[in-house]
Amino acid sequence: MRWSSAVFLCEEAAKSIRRNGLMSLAALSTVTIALAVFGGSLFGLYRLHQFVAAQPTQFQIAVFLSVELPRSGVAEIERQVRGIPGVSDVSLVTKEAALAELCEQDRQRGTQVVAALAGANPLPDRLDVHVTAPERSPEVATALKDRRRFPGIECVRDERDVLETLLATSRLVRNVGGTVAILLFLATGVVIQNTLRLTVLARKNEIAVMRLVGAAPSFIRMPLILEGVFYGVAGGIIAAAVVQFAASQSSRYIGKFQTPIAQGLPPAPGVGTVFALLAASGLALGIVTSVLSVRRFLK
Amino acid sequence: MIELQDVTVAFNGERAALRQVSVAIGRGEFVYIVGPTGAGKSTLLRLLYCDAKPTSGSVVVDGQRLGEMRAADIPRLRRRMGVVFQDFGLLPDRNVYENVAFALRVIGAGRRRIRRNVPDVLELVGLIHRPDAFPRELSGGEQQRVAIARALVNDPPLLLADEPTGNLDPDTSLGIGDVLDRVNDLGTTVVVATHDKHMVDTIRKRVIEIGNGRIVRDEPEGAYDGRAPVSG
Repeated sequence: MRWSSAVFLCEEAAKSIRRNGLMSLAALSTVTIALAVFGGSLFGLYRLHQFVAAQPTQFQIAVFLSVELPRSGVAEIERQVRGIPGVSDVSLVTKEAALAELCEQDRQRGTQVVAALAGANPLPDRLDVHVTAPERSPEVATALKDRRRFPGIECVRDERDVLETLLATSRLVRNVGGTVAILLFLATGVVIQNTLRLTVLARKNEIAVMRLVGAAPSFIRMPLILEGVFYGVAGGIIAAAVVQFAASQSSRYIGKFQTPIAQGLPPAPGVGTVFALLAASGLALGIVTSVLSVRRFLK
Repeated sequence: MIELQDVTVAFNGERAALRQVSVAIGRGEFVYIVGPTGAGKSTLLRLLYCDAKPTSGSVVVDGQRLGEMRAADIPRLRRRMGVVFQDFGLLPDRNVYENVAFALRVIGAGRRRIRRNVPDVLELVGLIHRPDAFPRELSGGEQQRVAIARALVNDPPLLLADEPTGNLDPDTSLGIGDVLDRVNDLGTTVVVATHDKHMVDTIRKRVIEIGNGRIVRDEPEGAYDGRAPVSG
């Protein structure tokens, strides 16, 4: 195709986008909303997936021992815990090491917890118990909570509840986000189709002249397809900006709450990935919808 | 240039618009198709630019047998002919130059060809002085000249005109007739379906009369109502 023909086709598409005015704006905003919901759901799901995938390596149970327990008793409990099926590793964090951890946390968060202790160390010794697989943690935690077997254990804390909540949230985001995204995709398709139908009506004379002077069918269709592609790609890019902004704001908010479960989470997808993914989704949506519209309205 | 052999056209089982029509039009001829409304004049032209298909018989235009033509080949055939209608069909948001250039741009012609052909054809139809005018600023006759220029800008060997003077007063119609005659003098085959008695009787050419879908008269340098004394 000649350069001048490509320029002409783009000019024709731009002219018709301007001519459709409000309808073009409606198509663009619907595509943006649909892709923002789609992209947002996908982003959230991906982050949850990253988190869940990271769990087998970092999931652990914190076992707090009685403060009266002598060091020999600690070593005995550590030996017994190692023998529980499903335990892969056990590491002892002494009360002195725990205090040092607390000092470090004070330094990072700017708090004054250690200073408030006035030189005392009320912290117990702790065993960090690693399990072979996340699904083994309930049985390991139950075994550790057996008072008759482990009288020296004061308290057992695992992140099971948090993990289960997150997994439930993941399912909710996937189901609701997926359903809303599919519905919005369909709605977007209908809006783009209606816009292109208006374009066909507005360009009735041009199309008649094009046919009469022997323009190739592909040449007649191309401005309409370009118009659909414009709605898709422009909507995708705006949606990517919205998702990126929302993601950065939410990570800033979540970052304020440092929880053990959030530590070790891999970095979020980059800006380029989000833009490329949503622009490509918009492109696909634009092409599919406009090709279907052209087949329907330009017989 | 054009050859119809026993052509019948019937739409959806209705009464045939054309019945057993056989006619030949040579390269470089100027032919009027006359007859009452509904006689089949427009159907005959529609057959020639592939907007209708023959129910039976054969239609050959510029060496191409149209009945057997694939839909994908129709655009190529249409580039070899220009078509003009009663309602001009100009694009209101484009000026004269752009309306004419549009016909070349949509078939992928280059800028050099557009810059060369458009002024030439505007000169031919007498509108070289108004390239920037929009259709609303032109008279009916001038609009029809733009439509003719657009039909001719691709140098087609055949020009089909369906009631080109239907919306015009007698003097303006004659001006359009003169333009068509000039086009024909340059070698283009011209076929005009018309009710314009004044034009047919003044610019004498071959006349084919159609009545009830059949050819009822075919005479060289004929008049609108049959043999009449040649004026002048």
